[in-house]
Amino acid sequence: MGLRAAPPLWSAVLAVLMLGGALGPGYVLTYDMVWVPELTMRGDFWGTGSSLPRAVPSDLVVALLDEVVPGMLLQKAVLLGSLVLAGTGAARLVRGPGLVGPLAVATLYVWNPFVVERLGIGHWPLLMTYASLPWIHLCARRLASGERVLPQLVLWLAFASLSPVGGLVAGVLAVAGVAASGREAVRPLTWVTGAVAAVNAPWIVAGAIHGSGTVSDPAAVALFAAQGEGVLPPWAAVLGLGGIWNAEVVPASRTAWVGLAALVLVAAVCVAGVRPWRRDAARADQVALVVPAVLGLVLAVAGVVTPGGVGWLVAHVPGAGLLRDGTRFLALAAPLQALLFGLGVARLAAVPARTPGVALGTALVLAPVALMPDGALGITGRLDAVDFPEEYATARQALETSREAGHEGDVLLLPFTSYRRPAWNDGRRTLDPLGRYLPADYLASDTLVVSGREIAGEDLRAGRVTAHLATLDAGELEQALADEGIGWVVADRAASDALAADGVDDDRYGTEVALPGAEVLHRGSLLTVWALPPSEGGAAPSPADRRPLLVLLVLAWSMAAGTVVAAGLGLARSLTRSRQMPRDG
Amino acid sequence: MQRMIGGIVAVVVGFVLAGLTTVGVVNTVSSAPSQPDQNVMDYGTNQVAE
Repeated sequence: MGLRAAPPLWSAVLAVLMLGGALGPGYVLTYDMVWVPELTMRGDFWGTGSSLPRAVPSDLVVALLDEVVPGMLLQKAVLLGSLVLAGTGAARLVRGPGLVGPLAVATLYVWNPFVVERLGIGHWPLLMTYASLPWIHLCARRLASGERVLPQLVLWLAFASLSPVGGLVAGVLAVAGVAASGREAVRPLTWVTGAVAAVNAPWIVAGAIHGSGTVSDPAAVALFAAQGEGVLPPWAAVLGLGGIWNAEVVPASRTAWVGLAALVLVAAVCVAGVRPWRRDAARADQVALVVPAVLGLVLAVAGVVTPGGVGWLVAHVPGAGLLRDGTRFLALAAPLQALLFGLGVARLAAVPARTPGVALGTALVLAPVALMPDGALGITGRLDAVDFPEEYATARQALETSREAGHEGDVLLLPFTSYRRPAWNDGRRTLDPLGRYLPADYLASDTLVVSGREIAGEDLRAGRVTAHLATLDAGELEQALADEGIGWVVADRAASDALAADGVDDDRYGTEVALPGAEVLHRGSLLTVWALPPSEGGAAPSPADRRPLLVLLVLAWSMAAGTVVAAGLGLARSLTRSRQMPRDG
Repeated sequence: MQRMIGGIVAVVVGFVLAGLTTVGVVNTVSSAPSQPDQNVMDYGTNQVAE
């Protein structure tokens, strides 16, 4: 019990140290991570909205779970649980006696640039995927060798597939894990491939019903390609599991000479781990980790090596936009790197002189933390939890009352830009949280801006609304918005003021919008909420009108839910059987 | 008993080594370049766009 408990306990220590202020009262709002007190279920969470289904099925799962657990607690459970699961699972990759190897694996798997940078940019569903990868690998190998662990594997796949990229990453590792056993694993491979397709079906079908909107702006490829960090060129940053496109979320230690020292140390220890791994691990186990790792590294640098090729794919192949932030696929290389690091540390610590060996082993186990100490305490304060202004609740109530009175439509969020830097979030950047905070479907801008360069969004309705804001006034604008299915407009005054202070006052952002014919439901120091007059001409065509495609969407959700329920029942049955067996015997 | 004491001393030495490394890194990082300038509309910042 003592030794078995060490990796989860150590992982928990690392997780608490890394999350720091994120575990305090309040909500962590950082870039794409937006959690709210109560995420109301709405149609768009099923993938029927006009924007690409980037948050399918994660928003739906959160909306269901926060009916039971408050959003604040749920967010902390997800962040803390993901890191603890990640370290605990990674430690299991190392077999044999001794704690040094497992603890070293757990440390590097939890404490590396990938985790810190993805936490910083708020990609929590991808971190759930990352946490489940060691478990998926182990389950896939057991399944390939004939053990009845398909339900466990399916449940891990479901856990890992709350985002499109997460589903792909988890699917690749699972399929590779089983396929590595060759012909003898054809049957389990069929089951696993089917399970991967089933749990990913909701976002695949939701994306498909958007048609031409699923291709992306090729200009984004270079902007989202892997970046160098400090003295490290992009390829070297990627080898160290870093290289995210956004310099704002890169820890300062990665931009100093320490980044190079960390890469050299980790690489050297990994090299030391290759020999015991090649000696002890079965060839199929090796293939199951090497092939995904190579694929992950290739995809991570593809945007740098061949931006034209990736750009063509993104512009012409529906769904290929998933490749543009390629360093997300580095998750596929992390289990192998952590495993080799752990084996290397165990080998180096096993020198004949015991005391120096243990000292060296301890220092190496702690080295990932020591070489990136600014990953601690909520990435040096960047993840500190905050409370929403009280006015948000007032605005929500006003909108709720209007809905109960029979008013319908979506909420338009103004200014029509994607990200905010609210003062109440300590000026830290976050995706506009109002959309999720309010109880109705919403339309927000999906145009992204990187260092002042705009990347066109995919949402055709958002494009039309931008044009309306730029060209229409007063009654004409109100009617045009209503025709687009907008029922309410919510303006964030502080965000508009911040844009004006930055010299951004273009009409297309709606910073100075006037809606004289709309009813003011709430006007406060931060927010104004209007209810628009109903449309006179009927709503514009939307994906919701394509009924045959919606039937496909229902089938996709049914397939995913059915697969998860069947796996849950299968696991419960096998657990019951295994408990009865000792009694019967 | 001697083995156990030796082990504990070795672990302490390992922690001290890691601690010294951490202090060195923190000192280096505190003099590292600050975060890039951020515009209010940006999703992020990188060298390609600049």
